[in-house]
Formats: sequence, C-alpha cells, structure tokens
Amino acid sequence: MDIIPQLIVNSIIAGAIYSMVALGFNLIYGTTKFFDLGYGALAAVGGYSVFYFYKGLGLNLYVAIILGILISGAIGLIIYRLVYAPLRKRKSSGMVLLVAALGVMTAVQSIVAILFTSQFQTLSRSAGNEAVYNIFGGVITQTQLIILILGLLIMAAIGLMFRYTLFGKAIKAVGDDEEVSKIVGINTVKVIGWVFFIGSAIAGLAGILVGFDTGIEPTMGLSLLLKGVIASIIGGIGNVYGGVLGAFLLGFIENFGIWQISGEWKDAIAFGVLILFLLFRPQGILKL
Amino acid sequence: MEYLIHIAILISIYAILGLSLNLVVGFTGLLSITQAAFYGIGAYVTAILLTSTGMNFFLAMLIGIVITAVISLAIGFVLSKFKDDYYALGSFGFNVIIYSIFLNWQSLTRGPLGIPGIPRPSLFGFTFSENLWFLVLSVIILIIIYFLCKFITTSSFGRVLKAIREDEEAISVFGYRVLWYKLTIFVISAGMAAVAGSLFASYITFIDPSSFTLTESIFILAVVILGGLANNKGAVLGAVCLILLPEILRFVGFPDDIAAQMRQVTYGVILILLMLYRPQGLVGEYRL
Amino acid sequence: MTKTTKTVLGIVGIAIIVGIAIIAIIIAVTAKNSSKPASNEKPTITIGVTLPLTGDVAMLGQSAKNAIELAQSQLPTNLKYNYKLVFEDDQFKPALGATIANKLISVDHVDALMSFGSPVGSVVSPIAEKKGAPHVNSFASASHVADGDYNFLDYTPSYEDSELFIQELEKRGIKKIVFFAQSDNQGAASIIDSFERDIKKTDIEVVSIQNFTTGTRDFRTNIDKVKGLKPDIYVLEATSPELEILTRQLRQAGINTPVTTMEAFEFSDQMSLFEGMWYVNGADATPWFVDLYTKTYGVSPKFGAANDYDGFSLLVKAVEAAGDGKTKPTHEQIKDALANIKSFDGALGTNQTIDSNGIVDSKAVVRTIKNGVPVTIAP
Repeated sequence: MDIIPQLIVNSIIAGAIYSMVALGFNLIYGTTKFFDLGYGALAAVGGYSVFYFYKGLGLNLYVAIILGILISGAIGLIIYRLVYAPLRKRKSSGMVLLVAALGVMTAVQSIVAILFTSQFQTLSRSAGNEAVYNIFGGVITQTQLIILILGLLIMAAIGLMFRYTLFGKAIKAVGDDEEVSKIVGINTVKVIGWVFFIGSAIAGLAGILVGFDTGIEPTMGLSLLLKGVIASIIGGIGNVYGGVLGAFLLGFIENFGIWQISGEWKDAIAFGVLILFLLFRPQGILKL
Repeated sequence: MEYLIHIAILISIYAILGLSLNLVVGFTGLLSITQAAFYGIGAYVTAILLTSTGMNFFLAMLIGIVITAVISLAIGFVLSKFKDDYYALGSFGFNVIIYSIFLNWQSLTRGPLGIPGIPRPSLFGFTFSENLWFLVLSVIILIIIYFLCKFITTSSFGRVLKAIREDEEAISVFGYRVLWYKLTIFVISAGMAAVAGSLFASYITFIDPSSFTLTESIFILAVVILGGLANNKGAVLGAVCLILLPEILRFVGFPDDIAAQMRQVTYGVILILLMLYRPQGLVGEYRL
Repeated sequence: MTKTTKTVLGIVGIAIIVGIAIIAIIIAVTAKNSSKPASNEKPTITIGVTLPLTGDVAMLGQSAKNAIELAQSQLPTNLKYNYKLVFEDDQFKPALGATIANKLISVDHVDALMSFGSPVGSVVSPIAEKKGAPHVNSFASASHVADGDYNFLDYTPSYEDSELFIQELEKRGIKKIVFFAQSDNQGAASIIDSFERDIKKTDIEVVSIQNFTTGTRDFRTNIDKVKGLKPDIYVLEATSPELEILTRQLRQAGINTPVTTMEAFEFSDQMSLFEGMWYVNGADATPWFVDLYTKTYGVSPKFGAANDYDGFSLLVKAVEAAGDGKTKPTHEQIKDALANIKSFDGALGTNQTIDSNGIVDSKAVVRTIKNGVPVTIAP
C-alpha cells in the first residue's frame, strides 16, 4: 500500500522540525543538566524578529534571518546571565531552575504578544505557492526540504565541533563534570554562556523555519519545546545525535498514531510514549 | 457586594487547590504539575452526575472524590518511579493526556461544547443559589480541608513526608515504605482537588476543558510557591494574592487589549523574582 | 516564624487590605456617580462588554470591539441618552467571564451587558438572569445562551447552517463527503453536532471524519488517510491558521477536489485560497456595513462583527423605547423593550425579527468567493 512511503515522508518532515528544537535543547541539557523550559519561547523570538525585519521593515530575506538568529541567541544569553547563572551559582535545586524557566517562558511569550499581538502570521511572502518535490511517492515542499537539510547540517556541525575543536571538548568536559572542568582551568561560565547562545540561536532558527513552513504565534514555543523534550528523552537525553533520532522517531509515532487511531489524540499519544520511555528506558535509546 | 463575594468564592476554591498541591510539592517534595487534571475530573464527574441524574450535590462530590482518588492512585504509582525533573515532566504528560480525554471523549463530556446548566447544591430542601450562601459553603469546606491538612502535616505521618522530602534514601533505610507514603499523600491531594472541582462546576454552572489545561496546573503551582511551600497558611495566602492581583490590576487600567498579557508578564516575572530572591515563597518553610 | 517571615507577612497583609480598600472605594465612588446627573444633562447609559481581546480568538474579539465602537460613533446626536461602553477582556474563558459579569453588574452598574461566544455566554447568561440584567450575546452557536427572559442572542444557530448546507449538497448531487474537523473548537463542534443529526435523514454518506486539535500544523497523514476514498467534496471546519494550512496541504498533496464549509472561510485572511468554492455562511453582513467598517479601520470586518454592531444597536433601540429621557429605564424595562422589538434594520439586513426565545432570526446563506471576495448566491 502506498501510504507507507507518504507516512515516512510525513514523519521525516515532522521529525525535521522537532530535531532542530531537540538539538539546541539537548546541547543545553548535556552541558548544564538543566531542563530549560524557557527555551521554547526563543523560537517565537526568532520567528518574530524575522517577521519584524523582513515583513515589517522590508529588509533582505537573508539579512533578516541572520538578525533573527543572532537576536535569539543574544536574548537566550541574556536570560542565562540574568536568571539561570545566579541561580546555578547558588547551587539552587533543579526544581527552582525549572520554575524559574517556567516564569521566563510565560514572561517572554507575553511580551512578544504585547509587541506583535496574538495574531497568527506567516513569514513567507508568497503564501502557498512554493515548489513541491515528489520523493518516493511522498510530497515535500521546498521549505520542508530546507528544514530537513539544515537540521542534519547543524547536527553534523555540532558533532564535528565536539570531536575536533577545543571548544567542543570544553563543552563536553563541562557536561561531564563541571567542578573538575573548573579545576583544570576551563572558564565554565563563559563556556555555558556560549552554549546558551548557540542553543538559543538554533531555537530561533527553528522558529523562523516553522514560520516559513506554517506560521508564527507567540505561544508557538511551548508545544515545540515539549515535542523537543520528548524527542530528546526518547532518543537519548544529552546526546546530540540522540535528540535527532528521537525527533524522527517521535514524528513517526505521531503520524502512525494519526493513521491508526485518530488525529485528535496526537498529543496524548506523544506524551503517552514519553511516559513509557520514562518508565522503561529513561536514558533514551542512545547513551550520553 | 456581588463582585467581592464572587472573588472570595474563587479565592476559596484556589485556596483548596493550593492546600492540596502543597501537601505533595511542599511537604513531600514531589514536583507535581498535574493538579488541574484532578480538579477537572472532580468537576466533570460532578457536572455529569448533576445534569444527567438529579443526584444531590454532596453525593456527586463524594463520587467525584472517589473516582479521582482511584485515577490518581494509578498516576501516582507511575510517577513514583521518576525522580525530580522527570517527575515534573511525567506529570505534565498525564495532565495533557487527561485534558485530551476531556476534549475528545465527547460522548461523555461533550468535548469543547462543555456542560452547561449545572445546578447549585441543595441540602435538606435548601438551595445555595444565592452567591453569599455559596460563599459560606465554600468557606466551610475550605476550613475543613485546612484543618485536615494541618492535621496531616503535624502528625507523625507528616513528619515522614518531610523526611522523604529531605532525604528519601535515608528514610527508606530506616524501614519506612516510602512508596506507600508518597501514594497516600498523592491520592489525598487529588481528592481535595476534586472537591475544589465540584465546587467550581456548581458555582460557575458551566464547565469546558479550557479550565483544566497545563497552564492551570502551572497557575496552581504558582499559588503554592508564592504563598510558601510547606506552610498551609501560605497556600491560602498564595491564592488570595494571585486571584486578587489581576483584579486590582483591572482597575489600574492598562489598555484593554494588552491588560491580560501584562498580567501574564507579571506572573512570569513574579515567578522569576521569587526563585531568585525568595525561593521559599512568602511564608514558606521549605526552599525548593 | 522567623522575623523576616513576620515582616513579609505584615507587608503582604497590608497590601491585601489596601487592595481591597481600593476596590471598595472604587465601588463606592461609582455607586455615587450612577445616581442622577445635573438637571439638563442627558443621563448616561452604561453598556458593559466582555470580549476575548487576548488569547486564541483575539482577532475576532478585536473585530467585535471595533464594530461596537463603530456603532456607537454612528449614533445620532438627538437620542434621549448618552451611551458609554466599558470593555473587559475575558480571554474566552468561562471563569473570567463570570468574574467580569459580576464586576460589570455590581461595580460598574451597567444597564446592559454584551458577551461573545458560547463558553463565556453560557456563564454570563445565568448571572444576567439572576441579577436581572439585559444581556445580548453575539457569537454563541449554543442556543441555550438565550435561555431566560433577560438573555438575547444574535447569531445564526448551527441548525440553520446545517439545514441549508445539506439542502445544497443534495441540490448539487453530492453523495460522498469527507469532514476535516477541528474537534476542540467550540464553533466547529457545535456545527458538526447539528450536522450529524440532520445528515442521517439523507442518503449522503460521510465516508470519513478526520479530527484534529487546535495547534495542529501538519495534516499530511490525515490527508493521506482519506485521499483514496475519493469523496465528492471536502468539508473543512477549522479556524485560522489551521484552515489555510490544511487547504494548502490538500493542494500540495495533489488533491483538487472542491472544498466547502459552514462558516469557516470568512474567518480567513486569505479568502483567495477558496476562490470559486461554494459554502454556507450565517447571516450576511450588508455591504454598507462592510464598507463602513473597512473605511474606518482599514481592514475588512471579521465574521461576527456585524452581529456585534447589531447587538449594540438593539440595546440602544430598546433603551430609547423604554426610557423617558429624564431618568434611566430599569433593567426590567429594557428587557421588555428588547423582547418587544418587532422588526429592525441593522448590519445584518433589514426587517430582522427576534423570536420568542430571544434569538434574532437570521437565516443562513450560500455564498462563493469571487475575486477573493464573498458573494451570496442563494437563497
């Protein structure tokens, strides 16, 4: 039956978006062991920055995108400096950080809504008329293909960074044991700051791409984040490749669920899978 | 003054919710973010029983408590396998799943159409249709629950809970069956949330799934954290503050279209500031 | 308690007392102000309006607010009374709706209330009935919102829509349909509810209902599931942005079968997506209203705006009929005057009537999109 190839293509498309969110999230978690729930809001920041520059001010598309990525990264870094860094210095428990992250998400989302209203917006100027490709009997649009390719590229880049650059190794060291890293002379605050910048920038990029594919709204961050979290946990929390694997797996499970059961249970199914993994394999498929 | 009576009723309902969640988060140290699910089950059971049979409110409330307790036993059991951050995530998951059930099991709950026309409670021929009388009823129930919480937390049972919060492994070494304590308090907490749900359903006379989302659970958590963890008076205080604050802000006169968003920003910032500068909340005894 | 805890408690306690005092003072002050004005001044009628100004349906609420303010600005100057509006944001949530209704009635001492949608409407109606405050809702598909003497509803009931829709399906010889339903949306659920009851009496087959939740952006698997069923038409019941995304993804999947809806297309900002498609809508906004709104605000009115324009106009008409110009009419008098309105001309058309349930009689219509603009083709 020819629905299987389409199902697989659909899963890959869904997975591509989740994987980008998971990449940044996993990067941050792997380094700081902190579930940054405020991370999702940065996707909205990225998307709306591009909206402002590209559709509002009429700047060149690529300039707007680069600005959007940089702004998301910057704001992520600022939040880290203002909120998370002081808390971590005080050795606050994970729960305090979680609650603070919730506060961050609520506040950032609402500020975006005040600035841009809650109206759903699309980023693309040519609504609905984009190139469509046929792959193995499944249909994928140009934007979706870009998301997929970029996601894989970023994953590869991060993997290479970890393997071959000193910076990457420093990140791994901080992730392994922060105390020891300090002792051997790594400036953990700076390294973690960079991690937040890069992670947030990736989130912003995810928001921008989603904006082109479907659209943006201030509350887009939460659902993207939750899917990213589920993907990370299924695939292997803290492991960059694991997040991507988990994302595609989640995409497949969701679409399979829609196919076999029904569309309105999609979220319940995703979280059901999360709980199953938490019960039986909390470290995920790939190890850290 | 009707408006003040109305606010007082809402404060009583949220105080009950805060007290119930405090037992689990404040006293036992389990970061549960799914209280809205139990709130909702209590509300829906009461609503369905009251509108489809002419059952007495208090009997319906009792049945609501029992059904919620049974469901919470299962959920609490699964959650007990998780630690810290994963506990919170798992509880998110259950909230989403139960919300999906409210929304999609339309033959039972009428889904998004909600259940209108829920009657007010009546006892021995007297109906609590006047809001003032309903307030009296809510306050009486609140007082009962308050003293129940006080009794639990000052008893030896309560001491074990606090010990679990401080060091779960140590207390289990002493031979205490930690799982049993965790489950018991989780079920009690859920039952109390169901009481709040029954009151809410009967007071507002119309419920729909939108009152029982993840956001609502986060709000109840904020009530507990603001008021102060592990302090029963604190839970009540938190409810007073978080219900009164937006109403006062209503008179401050932000422009209509951003007023709600400004309130959200305020919540987010309050959470962040609390975590940064006063993680034990206003009058709490336990720092997260 | 520690000393800091005691000080904190003290500060919070004072803050709470101050807060309550502020509210009480405001209540007292507004109570004073609502008594008789200076001798020759026209009394002021206050109408309290609760709308979803933020949240998921903020665009509809904003459009409604614009329509009501537009209606106010169009009032002739020789009326017996001045009309003042108080707006509150209910975020489309029932609990907030209840709080706001109580505040409007007991703090702002409004002479009448307006609300929007079924969730808030369902909660405001019992309160309005209990307190005896005239209440006009303008977007509720659930007719129970009009229950009671004080409650009125200005919105085409979903049974009107589905009746006409099924008629049209039969007229066009459509035998197989597939539904795409945003099942957690209140309006969609209401329409599908009516539809499922009525469709049983015909031999039209609903070969599949694909449900999805608000927030879904990926309909591809749903589409793949039904592609092979080759229905004669796809019925889409969704709000923005799901509606546009779904339609685009249908086309991307190579499906060129016509799409239709009951009411959903006119919520959209991109009506050109539905060029040439026929559909059923609730009562039309008249061209003069659409023109006036567009000239004033620079965008076209969202669906439901005309209903709010009329809701306000109805209240004004009732107050003018009930009052003598010297003192304000009571709630009861306004309510009676509303019920007695035999026919009126408004943004939804001329000679509109209100039935005995308090529901403004408005019929559904069949429309199509021509050059990106809705055009009525029947009846």
